[in-house]
Amino acid sequence: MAATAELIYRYPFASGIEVEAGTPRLRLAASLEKSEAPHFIDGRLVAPRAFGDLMLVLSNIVRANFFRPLTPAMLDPVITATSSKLRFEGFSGCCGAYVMAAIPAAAIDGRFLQRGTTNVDFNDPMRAALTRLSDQQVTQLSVGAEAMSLASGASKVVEKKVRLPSRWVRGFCESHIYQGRLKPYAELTGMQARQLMQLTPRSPVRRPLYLQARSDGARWSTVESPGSIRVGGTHRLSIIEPLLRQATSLRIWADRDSTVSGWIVGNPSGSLMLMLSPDLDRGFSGEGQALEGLSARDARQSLSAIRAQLKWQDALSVHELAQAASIDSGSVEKSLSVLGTQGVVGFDLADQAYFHRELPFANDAIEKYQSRLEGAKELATDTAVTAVPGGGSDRVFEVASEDAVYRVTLMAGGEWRCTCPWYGKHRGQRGPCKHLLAVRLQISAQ
Amino acid sequence: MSPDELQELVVAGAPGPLVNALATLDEAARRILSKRAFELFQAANDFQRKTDLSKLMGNSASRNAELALLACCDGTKAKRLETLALEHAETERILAVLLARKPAWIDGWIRHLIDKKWVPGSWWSVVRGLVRAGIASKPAPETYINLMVNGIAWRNWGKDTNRVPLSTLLLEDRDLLETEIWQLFETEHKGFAKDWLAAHPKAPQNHETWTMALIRLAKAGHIDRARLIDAALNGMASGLKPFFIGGIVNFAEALEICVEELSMRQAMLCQLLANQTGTAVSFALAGLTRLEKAELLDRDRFLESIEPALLFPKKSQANSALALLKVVAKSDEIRRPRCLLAAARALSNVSDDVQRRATELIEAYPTNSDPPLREAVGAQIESTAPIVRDRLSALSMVIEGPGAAAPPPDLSILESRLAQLPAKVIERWGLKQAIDGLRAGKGAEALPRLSSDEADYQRVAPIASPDELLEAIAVAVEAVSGADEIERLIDGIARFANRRPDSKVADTIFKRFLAPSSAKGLTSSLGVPPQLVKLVGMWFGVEVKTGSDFSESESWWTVRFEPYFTALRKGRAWQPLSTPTHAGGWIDPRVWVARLSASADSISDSDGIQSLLRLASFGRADARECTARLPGPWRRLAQYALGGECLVGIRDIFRSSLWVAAGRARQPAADLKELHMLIGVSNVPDATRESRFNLEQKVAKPGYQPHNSESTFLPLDASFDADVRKKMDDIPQCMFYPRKATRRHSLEWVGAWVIEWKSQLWPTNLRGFLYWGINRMLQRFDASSSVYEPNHVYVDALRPQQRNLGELEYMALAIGCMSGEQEVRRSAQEVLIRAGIEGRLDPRLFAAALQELYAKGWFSVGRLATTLGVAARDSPQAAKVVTDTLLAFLMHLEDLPKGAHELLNVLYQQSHRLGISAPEPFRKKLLDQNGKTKTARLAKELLELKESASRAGAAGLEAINRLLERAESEAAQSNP
Repeated sequence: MAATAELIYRYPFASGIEVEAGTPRLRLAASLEKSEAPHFIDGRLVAPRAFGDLMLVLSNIVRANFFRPLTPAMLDPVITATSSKLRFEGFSGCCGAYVMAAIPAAAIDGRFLQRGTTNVDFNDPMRAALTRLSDQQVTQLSVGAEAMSLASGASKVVEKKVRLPSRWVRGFCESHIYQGRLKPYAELTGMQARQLMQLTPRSPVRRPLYLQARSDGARWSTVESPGSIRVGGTHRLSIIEPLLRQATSLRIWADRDSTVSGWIVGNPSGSLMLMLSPDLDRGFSGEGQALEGLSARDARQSLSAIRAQLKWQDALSVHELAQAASIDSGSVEKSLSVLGTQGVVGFDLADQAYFHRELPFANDAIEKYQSRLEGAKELATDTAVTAVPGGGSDRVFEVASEDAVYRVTLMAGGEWRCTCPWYGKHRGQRGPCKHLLAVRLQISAQ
Repeated sequence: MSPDELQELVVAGAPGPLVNALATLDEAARRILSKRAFELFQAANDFQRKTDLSKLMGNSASRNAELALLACCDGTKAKRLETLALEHAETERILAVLLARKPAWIDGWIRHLIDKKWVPGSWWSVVRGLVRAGIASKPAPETYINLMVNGIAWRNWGKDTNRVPLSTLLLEDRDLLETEIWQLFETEHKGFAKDWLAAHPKAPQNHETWTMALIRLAKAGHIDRARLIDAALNGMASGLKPFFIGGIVNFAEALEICVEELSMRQAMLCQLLANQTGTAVSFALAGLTRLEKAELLDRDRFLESIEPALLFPKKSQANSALALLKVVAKSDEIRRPRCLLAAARALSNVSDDVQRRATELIEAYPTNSDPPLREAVGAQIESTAPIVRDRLSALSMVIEGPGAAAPPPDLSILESRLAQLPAKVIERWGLKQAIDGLRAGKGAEALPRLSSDEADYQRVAPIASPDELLEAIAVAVEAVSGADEIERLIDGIARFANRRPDSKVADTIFKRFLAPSSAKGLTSSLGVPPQLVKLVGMWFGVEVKTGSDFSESESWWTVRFEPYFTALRKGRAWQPLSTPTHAGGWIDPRVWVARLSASADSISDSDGIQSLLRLASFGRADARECTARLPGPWRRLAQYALGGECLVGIRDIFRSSLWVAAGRARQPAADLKELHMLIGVSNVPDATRESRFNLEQKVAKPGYQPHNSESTFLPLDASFDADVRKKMDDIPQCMFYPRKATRRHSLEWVGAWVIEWKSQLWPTNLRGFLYWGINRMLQRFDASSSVYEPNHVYVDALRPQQRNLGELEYMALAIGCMSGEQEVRRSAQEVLIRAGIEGRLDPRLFAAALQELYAKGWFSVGRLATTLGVAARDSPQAAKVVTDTLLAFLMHLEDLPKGAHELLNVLYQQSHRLGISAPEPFRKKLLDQNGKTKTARLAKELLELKESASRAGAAGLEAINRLLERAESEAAQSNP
């Protein structure tokens, strides 16, 4: 059973729509952090309908559970307000789909008042309000609220008790790593995207499908061919269909090694990025890509220097950070990756850059939920790792774990193998197994 | 009351005195009794009756113990109560106990009780009673309203109960009419779902659905009809899941909202046009259409809001929106330009049909082609379907613009790209001939074809060491990636039979091998032959008990693995002849002869048989040249198998299975007349005579077709006998045919890799394999895909380019195209696309298979049209195969099938694309289609379709461009 953490969100009011002097105002409640009441933005939506569509799809993803029909534990996305952008992030209930909706300043005629990261209340009435936004009616948007209006007592503090699943925490640790690896694969026109969506399965498919981009669009195939990308749990993609109806383009990103894919669709209000895990039964939480970073110690020295430079930037420039912190670009990149793993920065695929955000989870929770790393530490301290001589260019180790013994082979080319069930099931695609981590920990300790 | 007195009352069984006695207690007294009450509750739940106390607990006492728990214990203990469904009397007593106690923990207890996936409706009376009495707060609507929906009429379900109409029950609790019933439109519940009982002719008296009840109450004036209408419309816009919105739409339709009522809610209807749920959009469009008919439509508001409906991905909504637009455009000259602009926007709908209707609307008013409309059309034209693009161009509406159609790729540009590719690639992909054909104006006949050669076979790297074998087994124990992996393991076990594992690492793997944690592994997948499990176990030095003897229908595995078992027992390493050298189970004939030369003296017949059935078609001449040095019997056999003279002698009758395999290596299909002297195998299917079948007529049953081991949809011709004698065990071709000796069939409920592995038994001829595949697919012909029956693997087996398509392959493909299983249809599409490009598919034979299936009732026009339509879109080659198949199929039918318009639509679209017209014999059939049916309309359009050299040229260019893209990708991948 997945570990969960009790997290109580306190919202100063329930998100929803209210009418002020004949003008509807969409009020998104931001979670109160300690005693502070954040107030991120106040302004007029330039394209209310498009904003509603974007938020509804975001909400649909966070409410969806593609793997098993269970009620998701978390429904409220995380919002980060920087100097000129609002970013909403979240995961599907199964953690196999990560979503980021980015609203640029141009989409809101108003002021960005404050910077920060918190949760926003996405409740049923607010969803209903989103379906009714219309371009024919001027609509105001506020995220958070002024302390004054809260103090007046007109609003009632809404408390939500949410059991935050540890997979959300782990998912946030992983998502930036995958985003950083994604490469542009294809850009489809709006019609090509709609044609592709027409052929995209709506109900779960057991087999992965392969997307083949061509000069006249893209098509799905059951077979891999040169130049195609693999997409598992393809039906998950259909959740962005409402945004494609009026879209002019769909940008597709892919990482061929991990078979993670990113799908960016824009509308007049902003853009939405959906990142899909390799398969339906694989949540980002269990991918283990962050484990390397968490177990490595070398980047940690420059962390504090980089962290000191974080000032809620929209996009973090490696070059500027390197100059400001007087360290080399390579160390900055490594540090940003580790900071991402700690939830301190996020990655924006469309911008191809990290941005500053402080997740509303305690940082110490992040390592706590990495059970493979915890297991590896135990193995490493129990002196269960033994080097086996005679492996040639490969380095071979035996790792004793309870009454079992596994063989870990570190190959000269940097690849690795293990005889454990985890490796057998995933063949190295879901990050290192705990036996490999134990070997690495022991090597670094020596 | 003392604890003993409490126990006495509980055990006595009568609830009345217990409830009365508990009612008078204060909290302090209850605390004193709490311990004993909990003990009694635990005793009641000790179903094994281990303690003295529990032995006292009969049914009545157990119910009393629950009452005592609620009356005396704290909230944590009260949550232990898990009674599922309660009798009416029991709920009354629980309510009485709680009303008397008024516990502080009641809200948390209710939440715990009802915040579940399913809650028995009997709890409604308890929860509602507590809420009405003001003791408990109303729970969250998503749970509370669901409980109300399920529970308010719970008492109606008792045996011999006089049913009380739901409306009466609501009136009995009038407060519900103030708040709760309105929340029915804000929460997800099944109250508005289709009620089959209500529609049943024998529906119980007084049975009322929620819809019926609310409408009755509104008619009687108990609730406000206007508020009901508003609630329903708001519910449609609430962001609930589509299923629940569909329920609200059903309710709203049942309300029979009149035009005046709709008129007052036009703003809301227009808002619903942007809804993401199709049923809500349809409802809004139907309402607005009624308003237009009644001349009450606010046209400006409608035109402002119509765009999302025109872009709705399902054509029915978009077409309805266009129909209304058409009406407005016709009657309102002032607003007509706006209507046409909206129609131009509909050109970006993905449906060809919507685009066609939008074009028709624009075409209807040629004088209205003002600059804004021209610009709007210009912005969409590039992405419109070709049939529409031509018509829009014909209107001269598009001259230039940002979205003007891109010119087709120029032939000279393609030639310059071609020059970048190696000559071998150009030849293999048939690109030069295609360009020449195009220059000569051969149109669709000159479409390039991809020919097969040795490069299409992918080499398999053998396992290099015992350590690698151990690691490969460790991986396969968890998940097998495919049949090639299994053959590598089998080969590795043979070659390292003398180097058994002996380490703690191996012990760990072997433990997992015996008790796997995954269901997709070597031993845990469905249908793994026990002989394979035994083989791997023996390498670890253990004779694994598989729980099944080998005297089953797949006894070929015993025959095949016997030499492996013997070698393992003796610790002798050897190179099997039958190990595939290439993926898919193929053996390079040159390697095969080399292996023969190395060990011809010690080769077992079974290994020889398996190897012969796997010989690839390339390199045979080279291989035959090397057979001269082989020892006598093997030399004759190898030369015959590789295309030389048949020198079979009378003494070879003792090795007839081997000679049959050699004959099948040489000639996979048809009869082997030269081997007729091998008596005893003539009535064995696919030995010397090719098997024949007769397809059974489909029994008209929806869904899953019953089928068991004694029946088959494809019985063997009576001249064959798959059970002729035990000797058939060494003729693997017949493994798939049912045998009387064993009732168990070989391919039921089998994992995907196991099925794939069996296709490698005889890769050059899938007859037996497909015999079973067809049976399995017909069984699920009208059913959806099943995890336990990965039938798509049978169709996937047709995909490799090396595979020749014969009668049974065409039948399997045709069934695949019409299967109810989405996964199977997708595989069939892929085969059509590939076989089309490769020129492997003969449309006449494919059409013949369709005709046979049609005649026997195994047919689905809709599914066939969808599969063919999608496949045809892929490339002009696939389009050509599809059009030729459809023409051949439809031409030979006496009457067009019901729903033929779907097939004609595919035919029309693809004929237009290829620049071809309907051939003469088919035109006659089209002329017979009269009336105003969709089929008649499409027949007319097909008849009007003229040959077009320009479209044929464009299709040729497209085909070459597509192949060039693939060739370039392949070249880029091989030389990154």
